[in-house]
Amino acid sequence: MSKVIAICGKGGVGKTTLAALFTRLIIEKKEIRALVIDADPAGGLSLALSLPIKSTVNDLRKEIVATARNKNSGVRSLAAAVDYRLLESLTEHRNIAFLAVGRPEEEGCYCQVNAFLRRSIEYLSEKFDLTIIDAEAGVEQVNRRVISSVDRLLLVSDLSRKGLRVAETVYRVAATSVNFKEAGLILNRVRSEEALSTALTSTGLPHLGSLPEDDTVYSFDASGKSFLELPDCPSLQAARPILQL
Amino acid sequence: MNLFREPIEHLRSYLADAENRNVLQCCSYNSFLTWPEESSLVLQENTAMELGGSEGSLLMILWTEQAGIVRPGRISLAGPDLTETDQAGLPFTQIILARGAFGDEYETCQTLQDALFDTRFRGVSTRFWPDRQKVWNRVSGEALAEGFTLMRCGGTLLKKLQTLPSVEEAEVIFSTESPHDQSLLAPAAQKTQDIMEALLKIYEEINFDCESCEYKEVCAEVAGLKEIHRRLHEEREQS
Repeated sequence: MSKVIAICGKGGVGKTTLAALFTRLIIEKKEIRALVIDADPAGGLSLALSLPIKSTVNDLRKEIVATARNKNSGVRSLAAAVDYRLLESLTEHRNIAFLAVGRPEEEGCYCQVNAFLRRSIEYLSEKFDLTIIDAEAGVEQVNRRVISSVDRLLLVSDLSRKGLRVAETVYRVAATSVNFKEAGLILNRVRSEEALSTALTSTGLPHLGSLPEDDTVYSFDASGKSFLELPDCPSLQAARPILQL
Repeated sequence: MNLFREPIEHLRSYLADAENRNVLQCCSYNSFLTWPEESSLVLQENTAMELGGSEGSLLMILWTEQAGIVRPGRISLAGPDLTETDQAGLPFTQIILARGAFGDEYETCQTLQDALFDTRFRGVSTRFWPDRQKVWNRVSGEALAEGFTLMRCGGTLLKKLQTLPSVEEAEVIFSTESPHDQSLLAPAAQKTQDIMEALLKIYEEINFDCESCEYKEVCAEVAGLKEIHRRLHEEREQS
């Protein structure tokens, strides 16, 4: 049974770092096959993992629209073509397959095309043991453009008041619009127990784990080294129980 | 109706040529020559053999109502089967040829496509891109070790086609021989694509201005297409 984890939160709080740490942990477990989706238009996960993007879901969206305008294709043919192109768009590394969503569509209504693509991504995701989604701030874009339900919604925040408020807002919106089994807060760049405790008392969100300040992660990030090469470090140790492999 | 007369004739002459070159192997369907159906995703690291994809591929779905054209239950393979090569990738052509009592050409196309697209093989990832006549298979090392072959793949497809009420006879043809063989089959594939696109246009667009239609030449060449168009025109006027 495929499990889907979506990582949300304010920009710059460490969503991509957490997704990259998860991916690094998954490649240790050869028996687990994971689909890793970069749904953040900034596209940082590809850089963090040093995995090239072949083509994005948004590229496929453009292709579908162009095909529908220029050529007669049955719906079934189009669906098959999208499945073909999705597999072709995956960047594979050992037991990981990486897919980038790309920048959101420009003007125009793409609801039908998005629904079409979402079904194909869901079909693909079902074939994996685990799907990790590095999302935009809120989960509603994921819901609309990537996948209709998630098992675990991880709300990442640093210890800033703003970060925590965004996490709470994302949670409230998700509670009314997205199917999920579990949601909770992951606090990043935690320097001390005291700071952690202060942050937790200011929010009512369930706490699922914390990541410490970590020089190794910082140096990998700063130098552009692939997180897939990350040695054992405090962040990796902290991410392991959150991932629950 | 025999819309695909020309591509089928081309196909027959290709198979005769492959036989002369001693690269053709054939067998007849039997119930043991099948493979378990199960949807699988094979990642690159588990792929032992790639058919089509970057190696080049062709896909054709052809049908006729005329007797004597289809060789019932025949599986033909031009080139090596999966156990007869040590290459990790092969060019791949897959052709389905069916005969039956097909009332509606559009529905026939959809039914045959569905049968093909819905047949999944355990340990094999298959993807189709019908508009580009592409097919791409990733065969896992496990499936190869367990004995998956194209003859079994063909047998499973024939078994599926036999379950369709409108299909009376079916035949499956594969080619793994060489990119050159794909170029030999390309004219038949192009003609098939022209006919399919014209057919889709006739059914999916309510446009009866034949003079301005981009498929005007295809309809003029292929017997039967104009007849379908006329019939649909009448049906729509009556409704």
